[in-house]
Amino acid sequence: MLHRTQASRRTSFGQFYMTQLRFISWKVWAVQLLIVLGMGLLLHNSLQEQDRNVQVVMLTSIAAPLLVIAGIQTLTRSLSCRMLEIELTTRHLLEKLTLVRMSLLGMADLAGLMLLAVLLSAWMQLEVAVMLLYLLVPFNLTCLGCLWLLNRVRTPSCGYYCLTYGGLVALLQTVLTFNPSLWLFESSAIGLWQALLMLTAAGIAFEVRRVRKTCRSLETASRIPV
Amino acid sequence: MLELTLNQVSKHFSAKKAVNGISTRLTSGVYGLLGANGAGKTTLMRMICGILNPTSGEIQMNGQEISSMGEHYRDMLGYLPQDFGYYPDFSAEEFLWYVGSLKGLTLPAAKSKARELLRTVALSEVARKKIRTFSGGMKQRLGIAQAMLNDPRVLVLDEPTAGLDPKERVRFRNLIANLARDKIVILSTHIVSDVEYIADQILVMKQGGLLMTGTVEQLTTTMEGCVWSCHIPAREAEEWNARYCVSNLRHEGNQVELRIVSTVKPAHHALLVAPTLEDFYLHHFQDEQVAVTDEEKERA
Repeated sequence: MLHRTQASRRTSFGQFYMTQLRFISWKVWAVQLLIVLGMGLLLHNSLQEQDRNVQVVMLTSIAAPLLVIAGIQTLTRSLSCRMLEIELTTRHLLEKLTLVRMSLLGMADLAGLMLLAVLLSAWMQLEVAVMLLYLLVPFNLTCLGCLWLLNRVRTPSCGYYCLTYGGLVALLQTVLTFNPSLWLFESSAIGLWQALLMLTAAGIAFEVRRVRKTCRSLETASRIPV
Repeated sequence: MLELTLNQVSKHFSAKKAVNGISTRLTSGVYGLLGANGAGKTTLMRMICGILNPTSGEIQMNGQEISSMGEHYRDMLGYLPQDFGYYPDFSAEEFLWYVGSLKGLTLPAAKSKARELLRTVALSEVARKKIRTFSGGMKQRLGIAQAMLNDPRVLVLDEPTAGLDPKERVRFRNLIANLARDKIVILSTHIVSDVEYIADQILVMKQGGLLMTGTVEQLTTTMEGCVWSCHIPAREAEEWNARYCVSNLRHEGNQVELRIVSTVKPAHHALLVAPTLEDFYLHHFQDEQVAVTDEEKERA
């Protein structure tokens, strides 16, 4: 009887997934929205000044690391706020929680990038897939670096390392925006972009698997002395 | 009927043996883990909660290895870690809803249970305030509330009374006493009076091993004939303090009354007195750490 009553109060994975949406701070969503809208506005203004400029694509792609940076503290806050021990003893474990947070943030980021790619494509009369490729490669590169750090620097300051890394990627893109390598955006270089996308996606898949292992026990989830 | 069995459980960190071959059987009731800092209490509790894997040995719940029980074991577990934090941007009620969601409670169930627990730990009035504005004692009470969200059958509390004022500690003791029916409650502390009042059984840990197990009476009985009271001139107090294990010192004009824990009679005029759990603690841990008495804790 008790078990039946308890079961009716327990959530399925789907319910758990949806519930986690409300526990990601509204500020994170607001910052992500601001980044997408800001970039869209910047893009619109830039296109009015100069037509079909490679610099515009480069500039827009800075949104990718910025979107990752906006959500990174959500992924690392179990560590930084010392919540690991509690999150390792609950029905839905830290491993599941981290993956759910990653997927929610990742989907929001991808939706934002998709929107920017559609805008770029419409205003520059280029293929959406190509525009998305230019945005996804820096996005994947930032995600890969942050996941690499997340799996290796298990200290409360991990989030700051990720923030620094994301900032460096954004800075590099800014430098490249003002000193563009035009050959990178010629149609002959598409293969290179595709290869980079595949490579970084494979790297992300590898690191996500590692995140699952890392989040299974206190010894691997934290480098703080146990 | 619950039965938690520890069978030769050990945990080594490189060369350090944090827990060394502990075997015991726990059934419903309150168990106090008593030991100095570094005795292995926290490591043992973490293994019982499944967040650290034993280097050797096994922990079973009703005959089943806890690591193989997965979420079924975690469903019956409530845990208050010793050193833990909060998401500071959460209010108290949001924090409990969040932990409730991790414990698999539906939002309505989590909200209802959170309301009830906030009342129990006297935080109803600040339920909507951000946790970052809370005092240490309030955070600790919120920690106790989150541990009880899923009506756990095994409640593991690591230093639950740390940061609580005397009134809050009394409230906590009563709360645990009411909760303990049909549950296994394991709590660790180095505040002797806490376990003295709450625990049905005390597990004394020293250097990773289980030194002794028993009720307060059983443990204090082992100290009979070892606790003395004597009066000495105040100017000699320092010398006596250095020579003997003094569990209490009280000034009475030019004299001081000493309470001494010693297997030999310290002075011809010394009188035998009834031992307490604190005397027991001091006797076994005098080399490692001076017990934190209530007064010292309050002063801190």
